[in-house]
Amino acid sequence: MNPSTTQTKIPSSKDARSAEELPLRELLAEDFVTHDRRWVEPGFWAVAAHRLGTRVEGVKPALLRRPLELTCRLLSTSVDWVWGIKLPATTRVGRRLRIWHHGSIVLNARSIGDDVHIRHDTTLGAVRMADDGCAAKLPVLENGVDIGSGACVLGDVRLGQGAFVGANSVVLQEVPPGATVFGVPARIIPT
Amino acid sequence: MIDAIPAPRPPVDAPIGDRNANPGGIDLLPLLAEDFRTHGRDILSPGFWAVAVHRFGNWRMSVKAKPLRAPLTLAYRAAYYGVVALWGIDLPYNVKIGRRLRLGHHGCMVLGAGEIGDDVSVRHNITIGLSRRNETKVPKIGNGVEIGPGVCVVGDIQIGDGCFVGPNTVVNRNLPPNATVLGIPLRVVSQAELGGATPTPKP
Repeated sequence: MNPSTTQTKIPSSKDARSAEELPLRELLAEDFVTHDRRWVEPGFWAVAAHRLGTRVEGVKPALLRRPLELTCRLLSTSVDWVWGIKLPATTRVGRRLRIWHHGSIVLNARSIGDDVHIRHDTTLGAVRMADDGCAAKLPVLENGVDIGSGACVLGDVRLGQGAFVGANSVVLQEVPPGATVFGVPARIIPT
Repeated sequence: MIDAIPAPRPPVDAPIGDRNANPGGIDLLPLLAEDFRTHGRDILSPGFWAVAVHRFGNWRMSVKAKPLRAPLTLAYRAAYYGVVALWGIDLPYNVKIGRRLRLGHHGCMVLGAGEIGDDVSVRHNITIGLSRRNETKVPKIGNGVEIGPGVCVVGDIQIGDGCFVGPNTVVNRNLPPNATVLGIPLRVVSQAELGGATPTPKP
């Protein structure tokens, strides 16, 4: 399981397979490299706990799955308690998600694409707390989205490919691909 | 040299915490059970533990005999600083809170309000407190208020019942009941601008 000492193949970024199709070992090795090969990166542990949790759901014998599920839940709760990064199992996460820094990160989205960057104090979720469990009221992040620290992306909104969200912005509307948005509420600004 | 020493800060105009200020008409255990249900029956929810420690801190003030109360006070302080250190939720027991307060998620919540009503829900990164170091008045928050992530509520203000404070807003003036506000400086917005600001009714 240690990608730095064993010769696990790190998938190329040209490899078009999705996060679900990659073998767990290669996926974790890629996440480790994405997080600068540092074991102490909280973001790596948050993503790893999520990857393990989604894979464990596919284990067929219940006798084996139950203890694994419990372990994964403890792992993600520890990440949440120690570093304040909450990445629920209901969020679909693409490849090479990079979580920078830690603290007050809640990533309750419908899906997060490939090569997304997220920083501390970022919130993805529903506008009203009562809707947090309702997938139709959660945001979708396409590939290559970059989110500044303190930003909130709330409600049924889509962030287009390569969109950039400035620090402390509040995104409540669709963001077209490649746009840069900033402010409370966020407006498109020229780059 | 003497001039360099700042004047002592005036005391904050909040309840001094000399009595049990838990909501009336309900005992400690049913109250904790209600808080547990409010936090989605999740025993690992930091918000539930923060509220539970607050309730315990108030309940211990109903023990009038000081020698009997001392160990309870010690236990309360240990738990209070534990919650602050582990999750960063700062909810002193002398803040008067109503029933069914929900602290969603965790991290960086400083809840130095004078009073918080019933059915209030609060997300992470919240600051409620003084607007300046030398002020003494802290905010009062009405019933059914929802406060989004990253909000600061500061000063001698009152948030009316049923208000919704959008994310990353700074609230530094009184809000009328049922207002929806957003921005720095804040402005009153329509519910449509917040996109689905009305919560889906529970089935």
